[in-house]
Amino acid sequence: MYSKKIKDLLETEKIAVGTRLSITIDNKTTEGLLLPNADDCAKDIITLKLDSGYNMGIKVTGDTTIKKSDTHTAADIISEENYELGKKRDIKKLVFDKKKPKASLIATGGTISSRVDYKTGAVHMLMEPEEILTTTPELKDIINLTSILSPFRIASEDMTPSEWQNIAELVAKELNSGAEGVIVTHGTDTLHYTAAALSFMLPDLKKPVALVGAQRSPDRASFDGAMNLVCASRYITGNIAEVAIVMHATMNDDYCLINRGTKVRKMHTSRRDAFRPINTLPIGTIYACGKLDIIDNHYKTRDNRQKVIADTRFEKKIAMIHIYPGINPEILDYHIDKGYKGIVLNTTALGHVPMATMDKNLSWLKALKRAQDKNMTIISASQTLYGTTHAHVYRSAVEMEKLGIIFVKDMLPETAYVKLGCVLGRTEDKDEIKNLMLTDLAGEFSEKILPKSFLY
Amino acid sequence: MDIDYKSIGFKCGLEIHQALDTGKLFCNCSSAFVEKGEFTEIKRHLRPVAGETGTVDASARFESLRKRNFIYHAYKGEACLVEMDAEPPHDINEKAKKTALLFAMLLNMDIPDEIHVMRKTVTDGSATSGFQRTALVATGNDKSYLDTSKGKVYLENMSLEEDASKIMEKNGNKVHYSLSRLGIPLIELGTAPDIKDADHVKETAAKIGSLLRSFPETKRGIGTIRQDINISVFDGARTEIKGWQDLSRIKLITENEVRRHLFLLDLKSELKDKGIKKIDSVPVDVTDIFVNTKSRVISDLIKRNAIVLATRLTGFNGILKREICPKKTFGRELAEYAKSFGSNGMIHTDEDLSKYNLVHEFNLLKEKLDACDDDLILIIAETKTIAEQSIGAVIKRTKYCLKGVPEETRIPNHVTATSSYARPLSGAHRMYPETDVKTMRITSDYLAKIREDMPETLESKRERFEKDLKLNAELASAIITSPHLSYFETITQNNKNINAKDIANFFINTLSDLKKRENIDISKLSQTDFEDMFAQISEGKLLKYTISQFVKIKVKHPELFATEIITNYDLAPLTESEVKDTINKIIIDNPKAPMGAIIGMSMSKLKGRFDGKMIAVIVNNLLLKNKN
Repeated sequence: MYSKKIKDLLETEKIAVGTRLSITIDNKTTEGLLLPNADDCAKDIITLKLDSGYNMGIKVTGDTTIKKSDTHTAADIISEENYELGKKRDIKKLVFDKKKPKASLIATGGTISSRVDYKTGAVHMLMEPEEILTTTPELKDIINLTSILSPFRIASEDMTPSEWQNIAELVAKELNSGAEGVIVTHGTDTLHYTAAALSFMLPDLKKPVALVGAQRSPDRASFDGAMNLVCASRYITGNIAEVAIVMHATMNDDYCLINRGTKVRKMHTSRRDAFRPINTLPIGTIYACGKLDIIDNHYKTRDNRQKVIADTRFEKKIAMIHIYPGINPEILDYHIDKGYKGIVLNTTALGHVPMATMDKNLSWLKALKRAQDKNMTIISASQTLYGTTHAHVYRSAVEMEKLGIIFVKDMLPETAYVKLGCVLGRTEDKDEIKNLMLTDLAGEFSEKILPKSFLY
Repeated sequence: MDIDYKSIGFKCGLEIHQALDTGKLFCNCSSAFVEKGEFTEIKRHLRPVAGETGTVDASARFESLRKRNFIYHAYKGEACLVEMDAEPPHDINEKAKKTALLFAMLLNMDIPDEIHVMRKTVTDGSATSGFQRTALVATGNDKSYLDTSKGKVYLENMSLEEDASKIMEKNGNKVHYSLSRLGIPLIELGTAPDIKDADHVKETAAKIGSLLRSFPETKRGIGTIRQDINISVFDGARTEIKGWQDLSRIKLITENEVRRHLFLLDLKSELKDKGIKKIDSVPVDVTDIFVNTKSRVISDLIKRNAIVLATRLTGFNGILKREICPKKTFGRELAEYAKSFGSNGMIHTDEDLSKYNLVHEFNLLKEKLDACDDDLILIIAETKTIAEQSIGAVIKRTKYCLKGVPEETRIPNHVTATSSYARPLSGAHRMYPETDVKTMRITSDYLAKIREDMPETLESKRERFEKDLKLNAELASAIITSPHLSYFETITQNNKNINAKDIANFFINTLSDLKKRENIDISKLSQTDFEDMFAQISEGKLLKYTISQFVKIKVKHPELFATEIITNYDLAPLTESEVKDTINKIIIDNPKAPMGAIIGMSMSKLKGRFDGKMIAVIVNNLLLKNKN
């Protein structure tokens, strides 16, 4: 938002954003297109897009005159208008081939559907899903995308379990209406949470579901989501009936990893190959041309006859607490007081929380006992990520186990959080909760951890 | 024939790109531009961009991009995740920003109150992200101009941008790039079209270059300053030669480009005079004529699935032989359009067809295409799509002959000083904000503060060296453009008892003599080495006559200290009595030698350890004394 002074000036001259204007200071006149005041710009500065394409800011002082310009609009600026968002007429829709396998796309937002509004420079997450497809026209040679849904468009950091439920319902609906597979496009920050949620919420899945994101937005020629989409479309026409994240395997645009939805994590803030398998190997690798190499053959296979029922029951009164040196147990007390039903503790290494601190006030023993008394389910999942938890190597863990804390072995903390919500949504029975938490429902446990899986 | 620039309506502006040695613009990698040693390879593709459908047919663009594989070489220390498009850019390099703003102030340009970094779309693979980051840092006004011998040349705009990757190798659809240059800061300065002629191009470029080199942050050496030359003449259109690097021959490339424009305009009127109103050439598939050809070139291509497309250019016989500018025929110029679509070129009737063994086939073609003697026939043999696109481009270009000069961006050939077609001239670049870099508020307080660090220009240095250090004009001009300028300044400052002329002479003449005549690698010597040497001279422990010798020993034995060199190699100056003793001994040993011989022997014995002029005087005195 511009300052009141500038707003008044613009209003007097009846100048709206997008108008061509001329600003004169000290006999020097600059012409350009008025842009909105971006968030990080000073409020007393007018941002202009010059005919050269450059933006620059001009400070408005007492002697500044601003006028609507009547010179013709430069050709490039006219064409800029075509890039304005929301003008659907400009999107050339891809025409799909009816003979290709039927598939659905659920677009939920994120980098993969964000682009700069060329006119104003603002970043939008409002792209029409069709527009993403224009960057990846080869999809039409692989699938027949009959259904393109966009239930909401939000950044993945804004996702909540409600959105997981929504996506799971949609996926089930699409699969049951004849789609051979579904691609879900999604922001990458919390993509692995959604992947885990779909894994648990679609328990009898018999068709492939691919989650796809991008680390570079589609307004860049270096858009990485395109190859991810192509590989994902190959994946969903294949035989592996699992929820998987299909994204770059390396820094190169060469092939993707098929990572099981419950055993994958975003391990880099910005690299294309950020999603890595943890404590396991990927199910396989898949190339844009369709070449599939299976690495781990423990996967469910396609059965088109079987319907999938989305079990989206979820207990939202759960939390995740990261354990660190000096952490005060009052954090747990807070959650107990607020009536939380379950907590995932991102414990240190083999699964520990501080139990014998020199400062007795910082020991978690008392708070954990209280949580047990209040019937709260406490999960210990390792913040170390690689390796498994173990309740018997050190004394503190032995004590924790006595207090009913469930050590979830090599399950990722994020997966444990999602699973806890699902399990508590399904049952209140203490024994059943423990039993379900420790039973492999969606490949969240590894039978054995192979050395190759470390830093894969 | 000389070109009369005024009468042809010559218009010309320059865009100078100067690389800075401040580290990269948006990360902490080195700006040294090293392409050696250990490297990582990254393979990428580029795509049509979402939202681009308004102007570009996305699928056509996609097809053209899909086939290209870009391979990036990341050398150790020269590239990080930022160059690999795997990490957002860091804040702008403060030193580079400051240098650009100081340069803008030096040129009296206006600096925006807020600087916005933009993304400029590039899809040739030279930027891993698909765009180049650039920011407008100054605009021109009525006070921002260069004073030249031919009038004022106004400066229009200055931007600070990141350099693109350098192409290393192009191999079919694979293009190898080095990431070492990507992200090195460039100052881009554009002049108004105020340049009067080719000499003036050189003067203007030199003047801007000299001002830029007043800043210690500017990179030196080949390729660190590049000129884009924009040229038009009356009735013609603007062309831009991109990335010329050789200031000494900038006049020649300008002249050649002007001659090319004039050729095209002459051709236009010639065609008009011939009554050619329309060029109706169409491509015809004539592969059947070449099926049993004896031409190795064509038969090899046909074996590899090539087709042969031919076309007739009515009234063009003889024209493709002509020189469009020195060292380049119009035929070669046309072939470049075919090459831009991936073909290897074309064969036509203005060439010696016997060298391809194609005389017979072209006679058949003449009949088939109904061509008369005044017409020209050309063929392109390639796989179908390439052949079609290539011949289409050639025909399209030929049609333009009726209009004159096409607006183009052209790539220079530094050997022949000619230019080749690269792509149509882009209008204003489509730019959009680089949202990953915050906008920069530039306050007058900030500008006042950095102004304190404004360097002295080379021009004012030159004047100062002449006036205060008493260098002659030639030496002063030489030292300000010398790579050793900063050494010279430090050493004259620290050793006021040494004549500055001797120091300048050493850097300008002695060093280059050693390098040229004796092949001594002076690059092995550091500023400290020179400082130490002159400190010895300042203290009277070394005479200027022996510095060549000193340098040679130092290059050979870099481990020796200055004092060790002087002692170990007998370079210490001799006292007058030592000199007298030596000369006396020579006189006694050679009783019959004439004076000249005695001087010669003394000189060689005392080589540089004593003032040469004084030796002759001493010999003379001693001989006289002995006689008496």
